[in-house]
Amino acid sequence: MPGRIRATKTLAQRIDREYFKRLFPIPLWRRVLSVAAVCSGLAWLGFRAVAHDHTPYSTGPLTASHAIFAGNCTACHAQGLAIGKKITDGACLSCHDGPVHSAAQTVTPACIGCHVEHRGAGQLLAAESGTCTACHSNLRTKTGKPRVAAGIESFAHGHPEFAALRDGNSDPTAIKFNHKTHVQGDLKVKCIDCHRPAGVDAPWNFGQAPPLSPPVAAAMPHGRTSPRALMQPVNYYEQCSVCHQLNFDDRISDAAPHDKPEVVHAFVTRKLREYIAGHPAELGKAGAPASPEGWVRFRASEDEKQLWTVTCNRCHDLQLAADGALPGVPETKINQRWFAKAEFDHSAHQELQCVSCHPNAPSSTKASDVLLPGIKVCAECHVAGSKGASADCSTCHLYHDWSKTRLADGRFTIRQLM
Amino acid sequence: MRIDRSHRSWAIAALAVFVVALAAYVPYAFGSRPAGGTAPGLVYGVAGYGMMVFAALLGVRKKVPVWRLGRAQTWMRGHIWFGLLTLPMILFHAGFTFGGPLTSLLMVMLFLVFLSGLTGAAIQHFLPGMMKSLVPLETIYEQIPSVREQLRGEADDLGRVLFAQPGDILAPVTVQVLGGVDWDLSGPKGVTMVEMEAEDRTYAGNVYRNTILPFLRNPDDGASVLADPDSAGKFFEALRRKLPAVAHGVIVDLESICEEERQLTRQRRLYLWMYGWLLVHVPLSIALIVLGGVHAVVALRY
Repeated sequence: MPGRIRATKTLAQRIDREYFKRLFPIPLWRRVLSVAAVCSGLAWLGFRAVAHDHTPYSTGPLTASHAIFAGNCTACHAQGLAIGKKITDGACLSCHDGPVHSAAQTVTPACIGCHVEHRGAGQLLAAESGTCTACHSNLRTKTGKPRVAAGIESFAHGHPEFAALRDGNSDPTAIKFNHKTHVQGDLKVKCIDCHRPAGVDAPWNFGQAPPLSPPVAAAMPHGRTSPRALMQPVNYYEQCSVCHQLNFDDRISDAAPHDKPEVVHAFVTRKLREYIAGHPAELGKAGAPASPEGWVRFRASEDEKQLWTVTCNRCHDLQLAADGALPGVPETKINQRWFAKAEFDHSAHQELQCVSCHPNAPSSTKASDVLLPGIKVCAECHVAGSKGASADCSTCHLYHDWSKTRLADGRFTIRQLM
Repeated sequence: MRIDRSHRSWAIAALAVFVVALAAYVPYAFGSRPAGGTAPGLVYGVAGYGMMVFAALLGVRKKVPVWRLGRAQTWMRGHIWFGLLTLPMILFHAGFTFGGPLTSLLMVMLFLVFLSGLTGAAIQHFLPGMMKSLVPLETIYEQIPSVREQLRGEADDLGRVLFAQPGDILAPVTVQVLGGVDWDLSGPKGVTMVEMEAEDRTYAGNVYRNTILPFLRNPDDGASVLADPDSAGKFFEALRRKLPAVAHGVIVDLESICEEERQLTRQRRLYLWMYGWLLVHVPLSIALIVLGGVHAVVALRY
């Protein structure tokens, strides 16, 4: 029969009344670890402070261009403010210029309102769309009447159709060109045979090196240029010359230059004069004048008539003069820049088929057709918040008017930076 | 602490605060890039840090139990539910980014504190009930070494009753612990032993010295036959069959002592589970508050 009884009295007698004066393992280690954790953290910060290294307090990595300031917070965070050391525009503007966005703007945000540092490499220039739509979703201007859409909430909401496609606008070019004839039928010219981003240096399939320097790409909006942003402007030598030779007389193999009528006339006259000097037997034949000068004038008149009315007329509507004077050539007005207020980089879209964005190009018969894709085409990929292409304002638009930039006068010495 | 119906008002309050904070965060996050330095970010940061400090005050409250600062259970409920809110508040504050070295460290510590707190809350919800059924002989944890010492003394006395030779002097305490057994106390020096054959007495002495005593000295030794209740039961049953009926009362008492030792071992293990998570939770919480304060001062300055 069991003899042990767990009576309250016997249990109470087992209690060590001094036990609470001693620290048992878990409470003891809790205290030890608490002190150790706090001391470790403070020691880490302390050692860094002694070494004048403030990186522990950084809220994130700097952009690559500011990485040199990583250990020198006061390069930007010291503007002599009474409370705190927040960044002011002065800190930014002492090294960078930030030209005004628009003379009509009613609010000018602080630099750090759009350019948020400590977000890692490559993030500083890409301002959040919210910084733009803060004003453009309900745009107010000093003039009272905005010149741009006043209710843009995002690329998908409120952004107007591109200007070139609005209100029945047409391509202003004075050149006659039929895309359909070139890309369909027997020719089957590819888009890239004639259209390439600026900066691509490769032989042209239907062209040759021009005798003169190629035209300079039009300036980007706000004066800042991107070398690959625009397609190279179409010109006769690179895109047309192999098929459309400017031959003017069966006797002469050289083609006329693609130039002003005066230059063409001088070339034709010179070539005929050289020819008749080597072939005097042709003087007086078939009703031609018997004198060399008369023969040259006669042949030049005939050849230039062919040039002005047929060869040149394929593309240009020449203004023919009734008195035999040289014709006038209207300005071609080939549009090099379709987005007046935005940037577009074809090279960033080179994985796409041209017709996926320009579906009307192969069937276009008139040069006045605007073949620019509409905003809906862009919005197929550029969707805000998706994992696809960015729909941020800064993807296409610049904020600062860089045509008004001023040179910055640096304030650091090399030693101060290192 | 069991999380039961008494937590309902706290849970609803915490949920309401979370919903409001989330409802404010969504338009804020979609309208601009969230950051700790923005006005909404600062509000979330102050709220999150305030909740951390409030949660930490539970420890202070426990240090002054006699002060009239509200019931400890109320403080614990606030600790749990506002402690839960600290993580979303700080994530809203930081815009779900870790930032630089110090803020990354703080965020890692916050996650560890949060997870250890969740673990602790779950353990404290379930284990006390399990303790009641698994350790009916539970004692005050801090008393376990003292109780064990006394159990060994008790067992020694019982053992000597079994194998002491005529004329051996037993400690006076024996008289106190032999209640319920009809012991003959008329022998020399006022004490005596169970009357058994010398052979049985020797056997009992060997069993005590070789099996029972080593287990009582090291009850955490899982290799002992007495560490397992089933094998211990078989062991004592065999011992009872071997020894005469007059010794069975002592054997039952020894078996009871071994069972109590096993329960104390179980209690120690459960106790480690019940309070071991505090070794992570408390130190990191304190460090989080201290370093969080440093972060707040520096961030507000810069």
